[in-house]
Amino acid sequence: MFIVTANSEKELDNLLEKLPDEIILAVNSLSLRQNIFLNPDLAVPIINKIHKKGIRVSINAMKMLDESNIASAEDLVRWCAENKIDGLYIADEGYIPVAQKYHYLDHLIYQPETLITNEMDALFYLQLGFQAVSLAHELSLKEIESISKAVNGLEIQIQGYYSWMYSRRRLLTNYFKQINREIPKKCLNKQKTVNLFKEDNKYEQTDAETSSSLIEKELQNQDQTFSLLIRETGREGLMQVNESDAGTIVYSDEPLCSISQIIQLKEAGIDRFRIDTLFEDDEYGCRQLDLYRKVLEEIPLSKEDLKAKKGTDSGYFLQTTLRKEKQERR
Amino acid sequence: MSNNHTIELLAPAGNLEKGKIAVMYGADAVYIGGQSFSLRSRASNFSLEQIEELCEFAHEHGSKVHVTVNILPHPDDLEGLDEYLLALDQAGADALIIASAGILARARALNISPELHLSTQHSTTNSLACGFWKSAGADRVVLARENTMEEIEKIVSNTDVPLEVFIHGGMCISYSGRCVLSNHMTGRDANRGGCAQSCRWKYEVYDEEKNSLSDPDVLFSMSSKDLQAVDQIEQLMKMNIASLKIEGRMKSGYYLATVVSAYRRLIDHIEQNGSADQAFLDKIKTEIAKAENRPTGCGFYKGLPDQNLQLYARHDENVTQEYIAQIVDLEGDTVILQVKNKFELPLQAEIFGPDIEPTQIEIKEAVDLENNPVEVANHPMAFLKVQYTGPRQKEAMIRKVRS
Repeated sequence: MFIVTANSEKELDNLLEKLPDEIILAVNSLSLRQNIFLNPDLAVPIINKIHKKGIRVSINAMKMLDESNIASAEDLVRWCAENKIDGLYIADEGYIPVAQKYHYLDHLIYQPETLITNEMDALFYLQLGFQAVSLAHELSLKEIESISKAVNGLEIQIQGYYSWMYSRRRLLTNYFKQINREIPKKCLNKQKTVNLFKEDNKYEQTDAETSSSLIEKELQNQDQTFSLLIRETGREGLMQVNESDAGTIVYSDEPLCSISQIIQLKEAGIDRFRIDTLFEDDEYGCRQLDLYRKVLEEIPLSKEDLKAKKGTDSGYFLQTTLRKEKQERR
Repeated sequence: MSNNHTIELLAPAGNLEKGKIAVMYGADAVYIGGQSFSLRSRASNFSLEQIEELCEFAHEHGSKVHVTVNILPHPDDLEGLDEYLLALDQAGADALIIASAGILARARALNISPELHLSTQHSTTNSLACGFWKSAGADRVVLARENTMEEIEKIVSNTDVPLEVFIHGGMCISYSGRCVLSNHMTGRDANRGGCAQSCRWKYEVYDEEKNSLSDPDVLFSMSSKDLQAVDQIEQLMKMNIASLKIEGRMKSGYYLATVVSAYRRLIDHIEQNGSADQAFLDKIKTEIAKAENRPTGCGFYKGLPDQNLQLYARHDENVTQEYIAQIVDLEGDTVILQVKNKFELPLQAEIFGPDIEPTQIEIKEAVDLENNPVEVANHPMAFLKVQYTGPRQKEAMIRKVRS
């Protein structure tokens, strides 16, 4: 199945026409590295609309939980259960007891970016009852095949930018304070955080007009969310960096592209393929979906198709990282 | 705890000698890496025989040994896991520090004796996750270094699994285990012992139109000051944290002796007196600073770290050469020293040891083992005979007095 993130309302509309198997939405302050565009009043109707198209909906809740997030995390799980959300992407084990409480464990998808590097770790979460586990990006094809032989329920990101580092600190803000400069206003990120599940349900207790005004006010107050690029002084690649209340994320310098590996991955038994559309235009997800479907259906790619191909497959599919400082690359 | 301390002081050790130093200078437990399944590839990781020897030594001194099994293994790495876990049990390890959930489950299934501690590499930041890990078989959770003091207090009151927190040493800028900068920028796997600390490199910053925004004289870096939590020890002790951990398996024996003995004195003082006043805390901080080679700060303990807790300078590390000699033997009034760094005589110095608080001494003259006078000790590892008035003890260390 193909799973695609939606980072804007327009992108969501486009995806509804392309019918991916599942769409991932970011809905509140517990989401991470995905744009939030749903007005809280519209969230449930939109989810119903997606379901009516026969498309599954999952929610991104990949922020690490601190103690103050626990009530919100419980609200989110309960809301997901009540609204028949098909999957909840998490990176923090704090969700597990909450999901058990709401009989929602079988909807969880473990996506910690880096941690699942072998079959034992994948099985740990799957045997708890998780719906799926997302593999680390730093695995070779050979390793993915080896893990997949032992485990069902694996997901892999096949396309798009992915996280290289996630810090709780506000690294950009700190740097600009250090050099006594302002971060240019134009670098404000479009990403805004509207909490659907305020403890006091303030949106639900107000009329639509007041609700909108409250949301607008909340968005205006969130002026500390930035998007910039960094480049290591000895390298060429530019890495996107996002900073928000959740901390700072450094992304890969190029998007991952698995067009050349998708058949092998499918044959290896991977059944969940994720396309991440962050930093891309509203048609990107649809274009990539078309490409991967054509490859799997063995339809030759046209010149136009190939123009849509974006990213690199020279990541880890064909190599492995060095375990120790002096170990030679295998 | 075997030493009857209310809280465990847990120190790192990169080799057998350092492990013994940490124990002698007051660690209730030391943590070490074996030659398999352990991060910190540049530390001289222990063979099973060395683990067994350190366990025997530590147990004789009422201390414990924790062994890190903290890589995130790829499929090929799993070969020999069961045998290794059983061997660590056989060697006498008191606890295993594990990052992989799969390894944790496997170790629990093998029913081995060592306690199983969930590594900070899993970045546990809340009480719900702590509770989950207890139910999954963890005997202790090492909290993420991203927790504030206020959050730790809440976690402690909302969970019943014993907790370990870092009090000193290097800080990952990322949630530990969630960083692969090193993997992608150098090919070295951060989660399998190869971290190149790419976060500490220098970066330029651009806007989306590729206009440079960085200051060429102060480039962007994701480098953190080291942690130093002297001011927080009393509070951590009072909230019933199980263990206070010092980071640094690659640090020198001198660093370990200095830092471990300083925290030992602070913990003992608080245990005996109920608290430590500012003058005592300042004394401990001054002592610890003698071994530091990187600026320190309070990490997340006082809240989200600002720019003052990060490092941006071109060279943030200083090489310390203040450690000049170690006492290796006592012959009547004569003290046999082994030279560690160059020094000239006569010398105003400071001695400290397992049972010696830092004390100033004057060494007026020295001779080599053939009784030839030595005015400049410039042969590291050479032995000298000296006489001085003041405390002495085998394994004690001597350093220059800072001007």
